[in-house]
Amino acid sequence: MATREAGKKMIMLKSPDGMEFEVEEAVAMESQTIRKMIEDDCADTAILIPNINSKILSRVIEYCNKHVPTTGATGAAASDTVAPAALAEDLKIWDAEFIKVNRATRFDLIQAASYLNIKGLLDLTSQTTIDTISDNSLEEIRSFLSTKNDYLPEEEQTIRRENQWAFQ
Amino acid sequence: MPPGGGETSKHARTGKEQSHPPAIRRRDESRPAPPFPAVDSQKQGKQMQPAAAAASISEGPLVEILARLPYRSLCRFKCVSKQWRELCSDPKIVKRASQTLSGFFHNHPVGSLRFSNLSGGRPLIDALLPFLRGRYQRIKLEQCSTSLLLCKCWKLESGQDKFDFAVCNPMTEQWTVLPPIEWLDQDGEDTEGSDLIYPFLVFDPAVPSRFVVFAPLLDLVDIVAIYSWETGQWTPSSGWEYREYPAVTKECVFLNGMIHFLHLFGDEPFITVLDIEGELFPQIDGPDGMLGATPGYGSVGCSQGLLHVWYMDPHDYELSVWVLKNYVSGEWILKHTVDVPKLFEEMDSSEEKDRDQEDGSCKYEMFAIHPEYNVIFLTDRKMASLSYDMDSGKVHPMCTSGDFLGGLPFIPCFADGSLMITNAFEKIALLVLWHWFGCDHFVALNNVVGHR
Repeated sequence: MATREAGKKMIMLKSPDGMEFEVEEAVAMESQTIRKMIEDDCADTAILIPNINSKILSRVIEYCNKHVPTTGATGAAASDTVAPAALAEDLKIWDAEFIKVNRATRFDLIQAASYLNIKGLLDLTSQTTIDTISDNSLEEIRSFLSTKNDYLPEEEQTIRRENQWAFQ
Repeated sequence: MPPGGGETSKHARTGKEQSHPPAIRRRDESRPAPPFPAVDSQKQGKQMQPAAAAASISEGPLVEILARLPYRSLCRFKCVSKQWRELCSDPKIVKRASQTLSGFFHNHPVGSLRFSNLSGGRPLIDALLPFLRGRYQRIKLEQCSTSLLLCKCWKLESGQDKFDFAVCNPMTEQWTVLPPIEWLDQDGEDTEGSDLIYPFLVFDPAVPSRFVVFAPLLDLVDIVAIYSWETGQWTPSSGWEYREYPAVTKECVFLNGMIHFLHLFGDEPFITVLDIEGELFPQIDGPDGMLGATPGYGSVGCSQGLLHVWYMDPHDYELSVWVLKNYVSGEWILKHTVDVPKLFEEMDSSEEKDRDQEDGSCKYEMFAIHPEYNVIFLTDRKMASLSYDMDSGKVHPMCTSGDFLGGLPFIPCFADGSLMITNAFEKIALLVLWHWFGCDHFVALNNVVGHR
């Protein structure tokens, strides 16, 4: 495939709001969705990413840039002597910083990671939300996720009774 | 719900507000909109749009979040809203839910089988196993292997002699009856058979469809029959006369694709390692601290992906728990020791504990280890049972009324593979029917079986 030989082939990602992002192919291929398109030879030079605005897309690219394997196109780091454990620790700290975003952005990131199929980012964003909600009361969850309780009181009682075992 | 909505809800309800019937919004009927509208995936000049995202429920952020929750949380979150109830009940999400120890099957002193949740409350499972009641009136739980149960079943309440052994998954309510032990002899002609008396179920949680049953034979010492659901057949596994008796014990753990049986018979305890085809691998010697252990006072379990063994000294009831730190080199580490009677005294200081054995049997028992935490479960076999956190040293009473004196740990499993149990059941049933009635009755009976 022609696009492969160049080694440092660049790919243009376009957001629906008209912004263009030039990224290394290896970075773009952190997304399994884009990887599949490249491998199927469907991507020429520009890929339109629908429904992911430029703000979110730039964060996603930031994430992929950081997480692309160092032995890849980034070259310089290929012969790095940094211990894998130290590298992993560094990534962990970076991730923790990266995910310090407001809730709306986090949900957009989940959505983008899900669509672009970037497992690491999906795990990171979803798990952060789970850590927030898993021990919360139902009321806190409803409030946190802007969900309305649409049960009638008697309906809620019934469903609570059916799942009593899950409430301590 | 609008997952991307940035506004915090201002609709936190008070109890009073809840008494007003909320406007009925048939939100539960409309699944969340796909995050990406269908787009034309045809090439447009030099641009390319990714293929249209299907209008699938699994696309939304909420689904991604819910799919990472343990089953218990899913059940709790059903109460958040109708949409959540629908999502949290979606088989696709439930199957992905991570499972952990939910509770224990145990015999109530009155005689009936019960299930008690680790967290208390209404039992997760109806221990009467109603889905088996269409065919069997009397059911005795023989064994629980992580997520599957092995039951001895009688068609009639008064039944004494004729019984079946059934393997079932109480969460998916699927089950299969073990066929009689028989196989063709070496010439491939006559069948050789034997009574199924002490089957032993081994389940591989990593491959939910996979379970095998070991059955030692009464008349043949050197052969153990192994049933595999994959083939739906029994096959003889030979060479068992060289293995220490009894090769198959209740103290068993499935880990790393291998079955581990603990042997406390003889001065030097060891663990037999078998694969599911019955092939023997090098044994693992027990920890030095277990030398000379008395049978019946120790067992084996799995926690945090590591093999654990424990032993309670029959004289002073000091419990020792070892962990196999290095599977390859067989290096054991003494993880914890604790004075068991003291734990029960802590729990109930008013009761005077007599440390002497009364009837010669073991007075205390450690009946399980938590699969994820450094938590163990103990009973005094009389009135109480408790959980004990080996890290913090904290004791949590589980029961003080004598209703629960230890049981069989259960981890629910909803995974796809268990569906195949049904298939296996059909297959066996059909084979048996073919065998009994010949092919003429085959079709008619097939329908009957299918309609069990």
